[in-house]
Amino acid sequence: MRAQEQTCPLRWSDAMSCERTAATDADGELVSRFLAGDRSAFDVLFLRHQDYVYRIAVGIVGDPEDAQDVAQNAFLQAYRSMGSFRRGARFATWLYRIVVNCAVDALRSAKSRRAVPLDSVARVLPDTSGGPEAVAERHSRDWIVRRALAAVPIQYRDILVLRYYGDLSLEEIAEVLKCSVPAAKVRLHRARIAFKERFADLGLGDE
Amino acid sequence: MRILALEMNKMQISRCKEVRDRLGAYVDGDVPAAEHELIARHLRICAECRREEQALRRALEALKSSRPDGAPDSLLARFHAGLAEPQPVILRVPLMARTAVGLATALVLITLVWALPWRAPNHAPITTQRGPSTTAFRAADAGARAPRASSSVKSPRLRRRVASAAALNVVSPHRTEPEARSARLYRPKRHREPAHFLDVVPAVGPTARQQLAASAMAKEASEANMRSLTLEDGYIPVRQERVRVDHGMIEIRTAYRPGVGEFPSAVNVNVRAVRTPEVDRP
Repeated sequence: MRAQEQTCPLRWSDAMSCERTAATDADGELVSRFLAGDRSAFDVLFLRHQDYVYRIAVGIVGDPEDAQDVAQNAFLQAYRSMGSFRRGARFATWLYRIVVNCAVDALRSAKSRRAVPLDSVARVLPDTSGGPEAVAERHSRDWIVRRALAAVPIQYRDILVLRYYGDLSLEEIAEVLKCSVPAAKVRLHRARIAFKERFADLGLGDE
Repeated sequence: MRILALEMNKMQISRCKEVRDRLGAYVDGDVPAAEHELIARHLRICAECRREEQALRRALEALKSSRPDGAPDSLLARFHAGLAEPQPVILRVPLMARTAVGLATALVLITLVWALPWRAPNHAPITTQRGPSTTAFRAADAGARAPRASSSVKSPRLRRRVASAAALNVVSPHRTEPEARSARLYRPKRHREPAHFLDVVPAVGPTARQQLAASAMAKEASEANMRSLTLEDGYIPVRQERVRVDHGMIEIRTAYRPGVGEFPSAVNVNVRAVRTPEVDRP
């Protein structure tokens, strides 16, 4: 049995659990400091979560400029409604829920309905390692991924983004999306299938 | 032997469905070890599921590798700039207050709908600036019958009534005040078919003869208990628009059932107001 467990690849949730527990404790302390009047504690929270928040926003709205607006609005909303934050809850999931809501609202607004410009994808991906050809290939592939992601219905896109851009476990996703873990599991399964089909439609699924 | 093959095929299909339902978790490495081994064993023997797994793996790996880089450095500065901006004031009305306002609005709307005259096409609402009395109605009738001869009324009291009726510009569609009162209180049932309304106005400017005719129409309608009236020559039915006549207006709202004809010969009438004209004076 032990030998069988050793052959099994590392589980997603196991890989993240230790890191997340420590992060949650640190977030809790920072939230307490903020609520006690130390406004600078929010800056620390901001810097700890800004990358995840931004990635989730980009994944849902597609356009980096809009994603910056979404991230800014989400942090402002979190800052102003910190008084309603329930002690004992995880700050990250609370914040990510705000981000998802802001991103969905932004998508529904007319501004975010425009097509994602090609150069905006390039701006998101400043990685230039591997030379120009590798960069071009990477950009092309990422552009197709973004197209496929944008074609996925919003109720599946948010869960894909939370899972693969936000590195959240199923339990955390369920908490963010306010649903049960089995419901999140079913939704994630459907989301993966939907993304795979869109990805294949764009020509990269059958290499 | 054939039955056995079919059963095995069914089992295989069932196994394939189970495996495909778990392929996403399998690709993410998020299944228990025992299940992982079972799925891997199935994939070794089932080409269709293997293809499915490879396509899903390609898509999800592409998705993971396309993860955007971190937030731009300017985001914190933007956040601080946003904090410095004045927060938009959002008035939050308590739920109780909103409910009360909603109920009051609904009540007002219901009352308005109930009180509107079009709700009672057979009913003659009386134009009353000050609620004329029975005598005023009679006087108005008398005045309408003989507009020039109002001075022939012997009783000074009745003469004053005639004058006040003329000032009020009313013509009685009812014979008596109790009748008028009951008409005001009477609420006929709503028609099942939608009623169409026509405005009937004189073809030319109102003359004394036409005023008399209008008065006669009102009287006739009153006697017929507002049930029917035949349109006379010289009156033009105008559909769904109100025509203003220079020297006063005779407005008779009529209702008829659609589909009977373009303009029915006998219609229900509803006399609303007849203004006494200032014409035919030497």
